[in-house]
Amino acid sequence: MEVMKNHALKMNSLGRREFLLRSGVGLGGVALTWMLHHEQAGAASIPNQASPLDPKLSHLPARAKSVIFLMMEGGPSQMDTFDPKPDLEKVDGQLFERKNVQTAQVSGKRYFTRSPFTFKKYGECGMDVSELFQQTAAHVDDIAFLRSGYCDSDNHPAAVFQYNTGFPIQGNPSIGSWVVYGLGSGNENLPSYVVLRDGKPFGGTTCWSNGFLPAVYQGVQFRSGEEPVLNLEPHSGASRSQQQVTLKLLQNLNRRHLKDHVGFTDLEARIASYELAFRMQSEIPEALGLHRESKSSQAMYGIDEETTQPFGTRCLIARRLVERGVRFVQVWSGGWDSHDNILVGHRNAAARVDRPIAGLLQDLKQRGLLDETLVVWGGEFGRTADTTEAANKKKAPGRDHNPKATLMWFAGGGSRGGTVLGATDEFGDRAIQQRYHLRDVHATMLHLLGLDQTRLTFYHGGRMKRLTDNGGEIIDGLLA
Amino acid sequence: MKRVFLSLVFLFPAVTCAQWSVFDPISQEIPPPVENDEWSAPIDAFVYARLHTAGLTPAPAVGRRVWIRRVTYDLVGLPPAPDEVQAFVNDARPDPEAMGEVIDRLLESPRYGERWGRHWLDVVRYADTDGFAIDAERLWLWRYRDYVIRSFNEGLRFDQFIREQIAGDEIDAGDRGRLAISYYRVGPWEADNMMSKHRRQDYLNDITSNIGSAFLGLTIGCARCHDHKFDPIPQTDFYQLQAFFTPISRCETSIAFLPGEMTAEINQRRDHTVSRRLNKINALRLTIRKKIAESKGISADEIIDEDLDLAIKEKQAPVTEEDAKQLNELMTAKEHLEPEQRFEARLVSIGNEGEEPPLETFVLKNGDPHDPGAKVVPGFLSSLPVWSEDLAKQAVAAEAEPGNRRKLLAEWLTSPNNPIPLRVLANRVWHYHFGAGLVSTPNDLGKNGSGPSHPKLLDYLVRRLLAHRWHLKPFHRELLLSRTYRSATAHPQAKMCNEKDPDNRLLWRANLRRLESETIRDSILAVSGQLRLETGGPGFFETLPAGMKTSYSFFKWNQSSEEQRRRRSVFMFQRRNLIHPMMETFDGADLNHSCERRKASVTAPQALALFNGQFATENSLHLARRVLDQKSDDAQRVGQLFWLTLSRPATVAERNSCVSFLAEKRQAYAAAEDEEDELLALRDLSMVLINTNEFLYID
Repeated sequence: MEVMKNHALKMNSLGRREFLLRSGVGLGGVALTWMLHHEQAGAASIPNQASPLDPKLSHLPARAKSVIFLMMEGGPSQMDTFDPKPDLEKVDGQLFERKNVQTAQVSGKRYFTRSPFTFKKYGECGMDVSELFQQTAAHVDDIAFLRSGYCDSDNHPAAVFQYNTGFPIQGNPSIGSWVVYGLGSGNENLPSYVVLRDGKPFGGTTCWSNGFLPAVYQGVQFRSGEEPVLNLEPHSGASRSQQQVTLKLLQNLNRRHLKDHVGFTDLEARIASYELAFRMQSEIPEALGLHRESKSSQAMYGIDEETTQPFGTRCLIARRLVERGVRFVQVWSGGWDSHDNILVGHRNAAARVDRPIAGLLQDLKQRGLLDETLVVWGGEFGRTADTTEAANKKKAPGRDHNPKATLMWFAGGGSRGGTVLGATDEFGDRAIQQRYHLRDVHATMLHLLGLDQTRLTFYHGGRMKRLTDNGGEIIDGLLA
Repeated sequence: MKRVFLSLVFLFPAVTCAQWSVFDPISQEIPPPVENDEWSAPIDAFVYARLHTAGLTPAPAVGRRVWIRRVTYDLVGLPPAPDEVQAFVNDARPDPEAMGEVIDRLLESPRYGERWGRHWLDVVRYADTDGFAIDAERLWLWRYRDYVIRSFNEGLRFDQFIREQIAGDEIDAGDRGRLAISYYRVGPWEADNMMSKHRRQDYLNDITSNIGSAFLGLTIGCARCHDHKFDPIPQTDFYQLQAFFTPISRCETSIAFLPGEMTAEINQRRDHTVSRRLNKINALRLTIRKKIAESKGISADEIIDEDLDLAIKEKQAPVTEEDAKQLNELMTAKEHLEPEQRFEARLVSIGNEGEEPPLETFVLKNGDPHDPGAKVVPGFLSSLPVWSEDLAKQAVAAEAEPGNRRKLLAEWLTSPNNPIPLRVLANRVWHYHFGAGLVSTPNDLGKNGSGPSHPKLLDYLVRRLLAHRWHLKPFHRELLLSRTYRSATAHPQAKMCNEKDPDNRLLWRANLRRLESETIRDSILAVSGQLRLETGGPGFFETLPAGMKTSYSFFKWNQSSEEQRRRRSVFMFQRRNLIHPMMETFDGADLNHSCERRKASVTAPQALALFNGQFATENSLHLARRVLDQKSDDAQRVGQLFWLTLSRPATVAERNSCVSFLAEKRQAYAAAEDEEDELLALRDLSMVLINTNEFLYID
């Protein structure tokens, strides 16, 4: 209750406006106390060592503790995966002409394109899934499909920014940063927001940026290779015990300095950050120690096969991280941008992820983690029902960018398995029933984590900002 | 939409200073009388009076050693050299004289412009690339960066600095002005956005918002889709302000290097260009020479130059028309230009080449470029009283003169009758010197900003700025010589003061400030003796960690030479999509939005960077060599290291800890049969010192 006392004290001294401004986050005393002395460098002293990553109370009862965000970069097609469109068969190869409907950004003549993939029904719910996701299909009773999502930009970077930050421009916090800001860490020895990338990024670090939130909420990239986290190993090659000797002197000098700077909590926090960094040096390799996983467990994720090894590895790491309390893991897989030859393009892209995703869902379930882990699958936009003249001539039709129909799915973490929400038109070109904007998806994700989108705010650029700045609607149909 | 604003209204029920508005005219309030002699100078009197009213006392003044470290970082962003500290501490003259001399020395240093130019680059969101998917490089934008640095160093009046950036091409500002308008090319640009109308509108909106933040300290960008919800800025204001520069188009132009712009790097490049052409010429001449020799059945050496020239000139067989033409092209190209012009100097600018911009401006409904509403003509903020009917009329008339609009905006922004840009400037300078502005949100002096802690002082500062005719150097001097600036971070009644004023808005003590990302890097280079002080020129590419190079191969990042990488961070190439991890980890500037103040977060990756990272480790080794070279014992070396890094001697206790640390480390390295045990032990101690809070936080 010491914390609450501070809290009250601040209220008096700050004045009502300032207080409301800063307590907009509404996460209880700890968060408030922290914000009070971290928003400004060298600000007031508070006799309390609350860290910005301390676990915080959620606004609402939380269904999910962690998120695994499967980012299919490039934009997977809806009508080739989870939204069959038999009507496309009838018009396949015909000139695309629709009343009041313009097609994607590519001009010129365009042609309807059927899906080259066959669909079957799966699970008790009888879900339609194409041959691309035969293994994921085994879990449809745990999955809620949203067929009627839409977003704003048909350009990759802007769409990827929006998908991750809510805005099609750079400079805003990603959803992972917001979540950690809202909930704090579940394991103080590991970063709370981890990014597992695949190849070159659209827009670079913007996709996991803390934007205007403090840097402590930035996504931390774990890289493949020997140094998964920057500077995790001493460049000098010092042994752990030698490092400890050095650290001891540093902390000794820092504590002496602190005596003359009583109450400057940043200085105390910085002393603590060295202890944390030191612990991370052993904790991170432990969390990444896939050799500790059994052969069968590795096989479940497809690590034994060349095609599925990279993404499978990332999925297994994601599971190990959420198991250890990491809040938000962004897992990327690219190659979905099939403008030409969707048959080959999508087949390859799906082959890399189908088995690992199935393995991830199965593993989370059997460990009892699926209930508290929200798995989200999707890409920055959907794809068109038609192809370009050039691709059509080559007999290798593809599909172009389409933000008007974006399919996503959700598993675990309080989502309603075995359901389909919304519908696209007869060709899959437009979301028409129960349409939900991306911001509604973001609002719903926050809701499942126990965060109220209107209360998760931060003062920036003259006003309180939030992830769903233009308002978002919680998608009830997705909730269990 | 409505819902959001309702919730915002709920959050902002009251305003701190209901009686104060940035739109008000500058007050003429004189400093209050103060009974304390030490605090009787005008700036101090304003501060003291408020403290007194609040029942607070100011912190004691710092000693000279702390003061010179503080002021050196403030003005040049580097630690003072030990002999500079010693000289000042031993200076027998009274404080004002001795301090004045230090300030003057620092203000005359080229490092001043690098430090304060960097502040301005924060505000205008400077970066060397476009951002978005392609993140194309703006190879010549560094000339704007250098223009900014030179302007500070040369003591350019700030009103002229504003005029040149807004309308340097329209006013009589010569080549300087032509460099300055690259201001319009500093923000992000979505090169591959197919919807060109949107792209162009985004571009104009971004500039409008930045003019709002940088010069007017108002969140004008909020009025893009609707009337501003808190400040008196109707939506039409956004577009009529935009109308001043609606006609601009992006282009690249050529403009010769100005005096002071040539750097060793450019000279090197130019020499390279020239010598490459000479090589080509020689190669072609040799080919022709061989051809002639072959046809005559003689050896090539036998043909003298005069004969060769004649054969080419008269195109005597076997010399062909094509041979002569090629050679002529190579020979005549820029051969007669002055050396600095030979390396063609380009400029990222605006003009009327290329795209044909629309000349008219419309209020866009909900900000949608496809939904234009009423047409607007150029006009100023409507809530500010008109002080010149003539200027207002000229603005309206400028609708007919697309090439003459921006200079009116510049005139309005820099008029002594316009209180807003002056208040913004005075507050910004205060912010950088004191760690927080009188308005602690320097880009928002509107109702949603913090409001001024000392409104009368702010207006007094504006009057001082005008008295100094917008010259910053004497203004800095005045602030830095104040008693307020000399306050310590420690206060005997810190606990009590903290309860009354936890944010220190009343300045009962000095703010403790963490160094910014650039300053951390520069300081480490400086104390290790590695810093190269070459100023200006193309940005250098700092080393990227091995893991990053491969995953970012998409973006060009050709690591610069070792020499280049020892330069100050302000000259580092700034890629929007790949911010250097050292800058990112230590809260570098946001490259996409105007950055009014740096954050100072505390994170574990920061500890890892300085305690484990390559840069810190290598420079610690350099620092160790600096003290190893001298014939001294451990205690003396410890003393030197303290002086170099912390500008003070080590205390006895510190010295003892460090000396036994060195012994322990030496033993460990010797046990591992490392012959450099002496050096490595000192390296580890150096590492400790650059990791201390005292090194990173300025008292």
